[in-house]
Amino acid sequence: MEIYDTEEEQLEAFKRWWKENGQSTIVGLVLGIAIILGWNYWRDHNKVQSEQASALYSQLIQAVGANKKDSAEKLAQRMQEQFPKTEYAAYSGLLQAKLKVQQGDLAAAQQILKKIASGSNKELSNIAKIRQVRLMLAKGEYEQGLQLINDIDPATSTSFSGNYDELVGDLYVALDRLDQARSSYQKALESGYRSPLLQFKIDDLTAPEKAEAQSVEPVK
Amino acid sequence: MLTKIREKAQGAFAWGILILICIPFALWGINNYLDTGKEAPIASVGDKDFYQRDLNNAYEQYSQNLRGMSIDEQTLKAQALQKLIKDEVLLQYVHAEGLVVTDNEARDFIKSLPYFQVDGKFSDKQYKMLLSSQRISSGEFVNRIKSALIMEQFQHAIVDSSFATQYDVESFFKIQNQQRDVDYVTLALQSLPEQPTAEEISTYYQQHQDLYQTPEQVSVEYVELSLEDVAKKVVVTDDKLKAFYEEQKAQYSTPERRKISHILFAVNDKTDAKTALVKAEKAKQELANKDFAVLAAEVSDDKLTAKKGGDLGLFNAGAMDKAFEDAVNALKLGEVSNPVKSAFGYHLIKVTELVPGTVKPFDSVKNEVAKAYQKAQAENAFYEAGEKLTEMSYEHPDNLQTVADALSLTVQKSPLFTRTKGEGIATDDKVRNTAFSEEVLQGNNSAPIELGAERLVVVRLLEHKAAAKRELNEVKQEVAALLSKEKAKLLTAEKAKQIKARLQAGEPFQKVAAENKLEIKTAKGLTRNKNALPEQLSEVIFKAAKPVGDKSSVFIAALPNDEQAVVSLSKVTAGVMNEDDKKKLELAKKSIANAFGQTEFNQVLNSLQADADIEVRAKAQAQ
Repeated sequence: MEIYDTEEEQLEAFKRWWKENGQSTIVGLVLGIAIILGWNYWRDHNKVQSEQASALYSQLIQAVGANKKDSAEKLAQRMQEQFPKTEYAAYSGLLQAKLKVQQGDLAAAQQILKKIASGSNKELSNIAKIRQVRLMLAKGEYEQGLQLINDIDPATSTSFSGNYDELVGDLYVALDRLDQARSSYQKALESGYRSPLLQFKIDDLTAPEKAEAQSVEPVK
Repeated sequence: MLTKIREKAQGAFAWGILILICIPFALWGINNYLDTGKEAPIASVGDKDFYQRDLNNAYEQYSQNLRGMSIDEQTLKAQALQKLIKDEVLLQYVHAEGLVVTDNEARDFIKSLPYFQVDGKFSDKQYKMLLSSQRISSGEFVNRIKSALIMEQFQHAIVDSSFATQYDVESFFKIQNQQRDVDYVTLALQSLPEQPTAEEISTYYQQHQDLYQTPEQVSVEYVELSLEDVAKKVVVTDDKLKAFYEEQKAQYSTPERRKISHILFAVNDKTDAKTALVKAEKAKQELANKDFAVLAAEVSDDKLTAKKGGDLGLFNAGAMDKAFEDAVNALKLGEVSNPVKSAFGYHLIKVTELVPGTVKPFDSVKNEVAKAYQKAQAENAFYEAGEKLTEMSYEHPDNLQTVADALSLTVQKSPLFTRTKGEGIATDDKVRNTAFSEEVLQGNNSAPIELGAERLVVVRLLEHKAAAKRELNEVKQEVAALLSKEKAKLLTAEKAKQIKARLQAGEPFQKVAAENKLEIKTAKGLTRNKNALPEQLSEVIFKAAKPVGDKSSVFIAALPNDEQAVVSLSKVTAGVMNEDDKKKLELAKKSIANAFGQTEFNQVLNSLQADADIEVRAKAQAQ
């Protein structure tokens, strides 16, 4: 860096620099301000959109909590129409599916969940698939249920494998293939997955040989 | 002149640098600025660092929720850290997903919190007071609330949307209301035909030497230096005590109590300052022939206190504007102030109760003062004596008498104690550990052991008894009893197995039971939640394999008191919903749906955590 001894020299140096770079500095500044303004506008717009969607979603949650099915249904529908690109639309979809199940319209619920399952959000997609299988169980479509789980890419469902294994167990129980059911439940348990009903279901499926080995007190 | 220009130039330059430095500050946010320092983060999630104090806070909160349960601190801290991380992962996720909460919603939520309510209504005063007692600014608080609310939005999306189908409910009741029919016999602990032989006893004794030993023991002599003892030696004179008393007067006095009432003439959108002041002055005149409380109820704009005659309760310094405070302090009992301006508007203030502050006279607290004075003075002496103790016990490692004489302490003796248990001075595990350290066992003085902040102890070995094996003669009875019991258990288990094998082979239960002089008990229609059998037995019955065809399932259950039961399960009837269950069908659906939802939400959290950039330093785990 150059060292200037006096005020005057500093001033001179600055004037020289301004002559060379002044114009581009101004252009740069104007451009910068324009970008900042544009960015702010875009951000504000997004913020307003999100806030409106959020407020609508809160109403929906309250309606579902208070069991007001008609108004919940309408709010969920409005969300799909007005804010289809926000995450709130997917959340509302999940709630809408539940409303359909409560009305006994399992096919409609299945449709909604199928759409969410094909979305890009890994977590929501898995949740939607898990619930689809539950609907298949209820409709007696056991083989389809097994097929759906079989088609899932394990790389995108690692954290949900316990839940899927439990569902496979449920499907096998429905198909009366108890040995397979037992080993699926066992697999779920061994993966560290916990659900309130899993142990309960396993206890009910004890295999004859195993009971023998288990109930004899070990001899010291 | 020259120097003046120089100064100016330097100033401008420094200013330029400040701008350079300040811009990044503005971008990084104040958090990073506050977090600088020597302290290293103990864990991080993405860009967010956690420090020891964050963990301590989380631990405080976490352990509050689990109060009364006996879980050790170590485990709780580890769990608190896990929760801290889990919450942060979720928070970062919901932010990234673009979830937001409007200011209105956050405000409505805060207003609904009972902590901030007085008589069922949100009170701004209460809100500010609580926040300031927590040292949280309103802005920061609102931000935290917003974070919590968007996390909840996501949780609602997963948990509230979960459902249970008719099939799910029926499958549940199929197992829950299942009925099982059993026949069983109970075998008491078998008595032995003969006592264990001398040879058996001796063999067992040889093989389990470690069970038959007296533990290693030591006794120590020790000197103890305590702040209390040092304090007793501090000489006190009345003059010194009086000086100390004057210095610490606040300790020996109670502050003044002032109870106040007020009438507020609010300044707001509807009323300007001038109008409010006029109203206040008029009210003041009215007070000449009207009770303050009555007038407050009629005209005060502070509706909460108006009902109570304007009562604001005890006056705390620092809670109100300075002008207000000054006015309060200037008032005599029963006097009403002139209109006083605060941020709320104009107040008329009245002091309704005034208990002047009191100071306890020196003579009445002399003993207390003496104790406090001695302690304060002794702290230095204690520190010095401690240094000396350390030094001398190290320089004369072969005896304690020298250091005891130098500090006029007495050498005391402890009884024998083991590594794990002792009495007197050896109750403390620091003392025990030191006494069994190599240094002390070799016959040297120990380093001073700190027992709390106010006691120091140096120990040296008096007697050392090595672990010794107990002679066979001494423990013969013990071994014999143990062997008998083991054998009897084995015999019982054998017999149960035999019976089970015969039943499995298809022999009639009646015949097998009669031959063994056992009585068959029958229980039909047992269900999981209601049956009169012992818990252990019922548990095994409901975990047992079901009968195959018409072949009963036979199994053994271990009961308390070393009894064994052999059970034959003949029938399992699938459960159906009874009338009562049908009435509660909606509730059952809701519970099962909720159980599904919680499980699913947990897996979502696990999934997010698996993808997040989390780092936990080893130190955090160890602490």
